[in-house]
Amino acid sequence: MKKKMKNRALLIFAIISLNIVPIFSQTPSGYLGKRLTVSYNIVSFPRFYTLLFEQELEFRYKHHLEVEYITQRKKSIGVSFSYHNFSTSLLDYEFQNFGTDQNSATSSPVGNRSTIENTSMYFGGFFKLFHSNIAPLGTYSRFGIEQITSNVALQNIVQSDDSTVYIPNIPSQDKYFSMMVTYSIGTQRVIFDKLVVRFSVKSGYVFGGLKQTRLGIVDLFAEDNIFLDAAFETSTNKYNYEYQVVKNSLLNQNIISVTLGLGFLVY
Amino acid sequence: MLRLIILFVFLSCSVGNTLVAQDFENYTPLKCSGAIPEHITRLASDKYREAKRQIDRNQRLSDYKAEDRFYMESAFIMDEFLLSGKVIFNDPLSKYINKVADVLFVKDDSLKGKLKIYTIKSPSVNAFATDEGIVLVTLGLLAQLENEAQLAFILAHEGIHFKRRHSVDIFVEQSRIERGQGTYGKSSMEEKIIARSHYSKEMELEADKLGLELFLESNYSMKVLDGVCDVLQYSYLPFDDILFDRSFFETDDLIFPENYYLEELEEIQAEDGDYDDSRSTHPNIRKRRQNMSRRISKLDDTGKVKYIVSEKEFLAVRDIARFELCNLYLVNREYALSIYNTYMLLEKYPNNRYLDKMMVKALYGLVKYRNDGILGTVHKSYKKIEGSSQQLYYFIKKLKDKELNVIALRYAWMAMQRHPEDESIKKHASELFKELVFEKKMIPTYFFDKSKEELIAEENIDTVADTKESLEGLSKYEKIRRKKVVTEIKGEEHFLKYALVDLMKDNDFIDEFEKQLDALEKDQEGNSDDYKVLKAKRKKKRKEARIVRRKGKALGIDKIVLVDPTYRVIDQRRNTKVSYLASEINQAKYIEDLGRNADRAELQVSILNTKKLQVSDIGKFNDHAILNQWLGELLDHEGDNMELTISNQEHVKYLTEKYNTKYFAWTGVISIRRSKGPEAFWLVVGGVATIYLLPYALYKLFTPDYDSFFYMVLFDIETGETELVQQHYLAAKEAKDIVNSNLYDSFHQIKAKRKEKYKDEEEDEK
Repeated sequence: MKKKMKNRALLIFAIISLNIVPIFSQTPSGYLGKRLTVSYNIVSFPRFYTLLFEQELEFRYKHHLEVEYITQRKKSIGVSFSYHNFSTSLLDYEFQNFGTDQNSATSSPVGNRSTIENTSMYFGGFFKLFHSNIAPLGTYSRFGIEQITSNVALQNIVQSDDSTVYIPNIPSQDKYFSMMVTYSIGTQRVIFDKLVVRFSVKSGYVFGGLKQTRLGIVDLFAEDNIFLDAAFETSTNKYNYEYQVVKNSLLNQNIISVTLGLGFLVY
Repeated sequence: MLRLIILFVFLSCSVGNTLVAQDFENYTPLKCSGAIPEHITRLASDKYREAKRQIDRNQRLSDYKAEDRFYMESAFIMDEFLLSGKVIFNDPLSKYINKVADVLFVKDDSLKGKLKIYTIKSPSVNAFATDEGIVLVTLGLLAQLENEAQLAFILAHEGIHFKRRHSVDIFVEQSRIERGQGTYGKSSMEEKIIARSHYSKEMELEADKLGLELFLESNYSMKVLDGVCDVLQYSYLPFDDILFDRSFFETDDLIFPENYYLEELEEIQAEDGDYDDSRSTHPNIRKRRQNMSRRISKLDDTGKVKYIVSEKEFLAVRDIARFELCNLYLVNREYALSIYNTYMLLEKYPNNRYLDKMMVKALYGLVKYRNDGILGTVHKSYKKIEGSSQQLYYFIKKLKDKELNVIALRYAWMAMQRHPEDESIKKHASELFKELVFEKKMIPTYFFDKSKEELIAEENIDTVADTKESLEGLSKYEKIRRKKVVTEIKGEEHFLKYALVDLMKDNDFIDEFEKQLDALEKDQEGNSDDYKVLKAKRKKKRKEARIVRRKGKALGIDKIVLVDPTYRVIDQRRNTKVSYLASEINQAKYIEDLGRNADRAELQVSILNTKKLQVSDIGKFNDHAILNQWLGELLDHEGDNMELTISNQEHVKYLTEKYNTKYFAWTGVISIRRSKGPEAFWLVVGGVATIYLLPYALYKLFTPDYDSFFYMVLFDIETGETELVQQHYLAAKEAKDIVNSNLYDSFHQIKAKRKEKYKDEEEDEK
């Protein structure tokens, strides 16, 4: 686990470093000589997953912080951090297979709902290529790689016949690590010589990556993963089901998003 | 008392003479002097607002608007022209013209002291008057006039244009014609063009008529008037018609073949000026001539004179204008015309340094364009030329590359001997040497260092060369050599070999030839054709291009001068395409931004802003004028991908010391609001048809379309090399952040120094 983590951190660092090197050869112009921008973005994305239950598209928001430094006339690099908390409704499933409370399980075979509470933190690096203008102005393409850490908790909500709701148990939290590659296309403008206004459309693809379970760390994407094979064969495997839900949620959340941002040119 | 009177008379004479006391031996190009006229230093917007007050508010609204537009355009366009450096004031020519005007208008209070008369550096034969009372007379006209009285008539004509507000009337009438107002309502396009022309001709005839009355009130002789018409009729010809003498470029040893000269020259068209003027702004010459002669036929010319101010002064002024023309033709790249003018002046001023220099520069221009194979871009066909100058055009056409190179070098070298102190001639001679050796690969052994007679005697050719007996006893190879020598010495086609006979005995000339050959050898070593060397060079070049593309340039320059930054706002939807007032306001802001960005980039920037001149800023005014001329010529050459020394290069040299930098930049922003084309209509049609596209079509229809363009070009004025070209096009309205971003980036590239690693690579590349 530690080795994999280290490798991933190195990958992010390498992407950033490729663009940092020129910093030490010649300073780029930036905007009026200012090259560092700290910005807050709000990322809005459609939650396609809800279509399965609610029959309507729901939009959610994610908070996003970014530090960007211009390394060449038309290039910049940066690091970003974002945080998102969401819950996912699961399809009814055979609760009794996992339930610890046999009474509740038998009391309501049709009304069970489960949700997954997911707190995801994204940390990543990126570099931007400005198309026609000099950074940080104008349209740009942004390439990024992000590590997603998801803390997941499964909640079983049992709705009995008389509509009373209770939570039979809260299983222990699991932690998932995933990687995501992103591509954005956007535009930036500067107002009052200090503020950067940004609009972009972003698309990301999440690789499942690693999963940490109570059993330890299992690479679910390894082709010879016996555990994974077993998961698909046995739909009642809680961990694999939960894993699929988390993975699908992350995929859906990041496949397309719109970003509005406001930054400050520090120096 | 007598002493005082003598002193006063002496001083008066001295002052009078200094006005035209031109030392033609050490002639220097004309420039403005003294205080800048106050009206030139005022902002165009102020002049417009002032002029606008004159508009009659009781007239028809459309006429009011047309007049308003006229004052706006007139104020700004004239302002730009006055500041361009083409207009000169307080110079001997303008002073003299003003003196003639004072004499002419002495009895007319509406004109006396009201006109501001200047000279324009233009070879065209013209004069014109503006609504502000500015009368501009071209150098081309002054060079062609025969006497002072002719100048007086032209001033009278222009004075009437001003007095009768002809420029305003013509503009308003043209607006009415364009709008189809009143009787023009049903006119076709053809009829409108003719109507415009007719009205303009009416104004011209009125100016002729009333100008003549004004002229007749003076003591100038009316006999000169026919000559004025001749000046206009033959204005397309040079100022004189002197046969170009073939001996000009020949020597005792260098004789050009007979077929290098035309046997018969094209006659000057002897039309009487009765051409079709239905679409012209001016009536044809015949009509004007007839009108004038009818009026003066019965008048007595007794006691009237051709000169009132001074004949001597007129002749000096005319010669100055003619000297200036040689230079103007150079700047305009009309090299043959420059040579012909110079040739004619050299008859009067032989061995004149300025004229020699003009000749050298014109020959240099021809050589450069000929060697690059594009002489046609700067040299007219001799078939289009009338009169004696045709001989020269034909001669230039007949000269082969090497011949042109050799005679140009020969002239330059001889001129250098005559004026050894002149650095410019020396530089051009050196450049011509380089052309001869580097481009034409000519070597000293090609040329004979003895005359034909000497060689014939030496080789004993004349008596025995062609006889059978003379070759007896010689081996096969000796016979071949012998025949070759005889052909070279006697053959007319080898005349060029005799071009430098005298110079091949000059050690300095031989040394320079050797020096150039050594340089060529070194250059060829550096330009080895070896595959590996070429590959390595290409690799380096690519690397350099990559570095520049990624990082921009790093010129390491501490100080630059920005010449007249411009900001042009254009609205294509309006009749007046340029939004003058907005342009002026934005230009002021742009100059502020330039200063701010330069400070941030820690680059020292001096701004040569003609919009902020004080009356005492004559130095800046002249600096700007000379830089504009320099840039104009440079851009003309660059337009044809030519690199050559600019003709007034020697005159920009002082600017390096004055401003403590050799880097001068031109920058500006152009913002265009486009009118909606037919595509907008079709987009809406498409939108309605498909409905889904309608919102987008409506958005496109109701949002304005803009284009904006930023540029900055930095030159090294010592070498004429372009150091930086920054341009940025945006299909949107110009915005402060984008302008600032580009400005700062330009300044940053100018100021930044490349780190050693990259610098070494660049130097290696060089």
